[in-house]
Amino acid sequence: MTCDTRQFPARRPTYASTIPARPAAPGKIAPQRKLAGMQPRGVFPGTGPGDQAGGRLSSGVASAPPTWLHGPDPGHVAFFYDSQRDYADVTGDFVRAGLDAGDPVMVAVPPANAEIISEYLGGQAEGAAFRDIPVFEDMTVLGRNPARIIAALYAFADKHPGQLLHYVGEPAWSSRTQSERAEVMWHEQLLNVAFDHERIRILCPYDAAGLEREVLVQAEGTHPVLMRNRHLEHSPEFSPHAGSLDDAPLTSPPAAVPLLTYRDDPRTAREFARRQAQAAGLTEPRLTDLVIAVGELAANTLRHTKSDGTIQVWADSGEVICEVRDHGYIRDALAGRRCPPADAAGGHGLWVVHQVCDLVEMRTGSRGTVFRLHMALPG
Amino acid sequence: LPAESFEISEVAGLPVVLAAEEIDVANSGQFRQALLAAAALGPTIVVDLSRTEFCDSSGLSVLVRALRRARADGGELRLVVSTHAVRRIIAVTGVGTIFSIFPSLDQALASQPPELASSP
Repeated sequence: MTCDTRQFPARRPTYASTIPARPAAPGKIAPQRKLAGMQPRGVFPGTGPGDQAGGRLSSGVASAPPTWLHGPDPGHVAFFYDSQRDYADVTGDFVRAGLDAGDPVMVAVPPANAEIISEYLGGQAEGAAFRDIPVFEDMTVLGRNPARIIAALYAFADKHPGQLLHYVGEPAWSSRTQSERAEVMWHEQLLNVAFDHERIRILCPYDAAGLEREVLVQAEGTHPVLMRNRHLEHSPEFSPHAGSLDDAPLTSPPAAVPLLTYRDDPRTAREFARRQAQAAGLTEPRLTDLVIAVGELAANTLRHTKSDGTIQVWADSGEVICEVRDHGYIRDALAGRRCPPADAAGGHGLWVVHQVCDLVEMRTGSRGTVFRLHMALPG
Repeated sequence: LPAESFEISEVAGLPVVLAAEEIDVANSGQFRQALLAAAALGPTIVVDLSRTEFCDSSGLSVLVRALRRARADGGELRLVVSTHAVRRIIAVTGVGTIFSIFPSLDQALASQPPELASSP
């Protein structure tokens, strides 16, 4: 396994150039299946056993558009659901299509929605041909820090080399903070460049009734394809720049928060972080997690820059926030989102930071890099 | 023993490196030197991290490189780990799967080489 070293700014996602505007109706599909009023079943075709031998990719097949639907390739779809029934039918059908094809399927959604999908699949199980169950991940744990989601997908992909992956990912829910929402949307944009187009099919359910309008609008910008009322369409709002964190500036730290300047001894930064976070109410084992993260960032300052770094810690509505600034510039937009191999002699720093923190905000540019580490306070 | 240094000794015929209380980018070069010196004493090295309260990923990189050298020489690297912070970074990075890890120095010293331990 190798790290993805694609550089920031991200190249234009492949979708933009590879989606045919309106796929022509193919000869091999029975025309009546295109009629309105069709069964809800089979919203995501093209992955049936007949299309791919054993779920293996044969060239060109996996990326073929869903030919009987008047719509684009469901490569990375924002699915706006308005009812539990809608959710069950569409996500359930997507999962079942993958399983029927013998492809690996991962479902990362909040637990209540995982239940809906399980029930749907359970109902389908009698007499159904699927050979396996999907891999379920609790998105409220895995995606607590959205930067961990792509890492989990890379690990899943590594377990299934050469196979088409099917992924249901629901990273947004209504109690997410503003900072989390920005990271969720940046994650969604990075999904467009994290994988080759032929490698994965992604369905991202968004609660059209429960989520803030701003979130739904941003989802249209970060997904090349949208689905509403069982209809797939190109997103007119899709842009490779949507979800950019440049549009989500960090607020200023509160006034009079102590600031430490460090340079050659990362230990001073670690000790400061421990002392301040403890005073703000953070306890073990999360205190050690924060110290580990700060240690990695302070080490990066020493290794990759020629000047000082600064650190500040404060408490804010149920969490401790630790801000680390230096004059470095992180070019790789996917840095820290892929687990280096166990025997790699390096490259673990940002990975570690993302794993131990509840949320990591990063802003990087020619003037330097700011990290904001969020740790939930106990209780 | 100075808490910030790395001490090399020989115990029960094996080179033992007693690691510093904190290992980071500022002293990982010394750590590397200590492991190289220990490697001259024998292919299998015990690294005692039991007093180490912090180790960053640069410290782990030193260990991974030392493991590669030890294996190339027909030996292994045995880690003594007993603190939360070191256990945590080993778990997060996944390197726990490639090292032999022991809770105490005695157990690390008493361990048989893998090929002997696995034979009936």
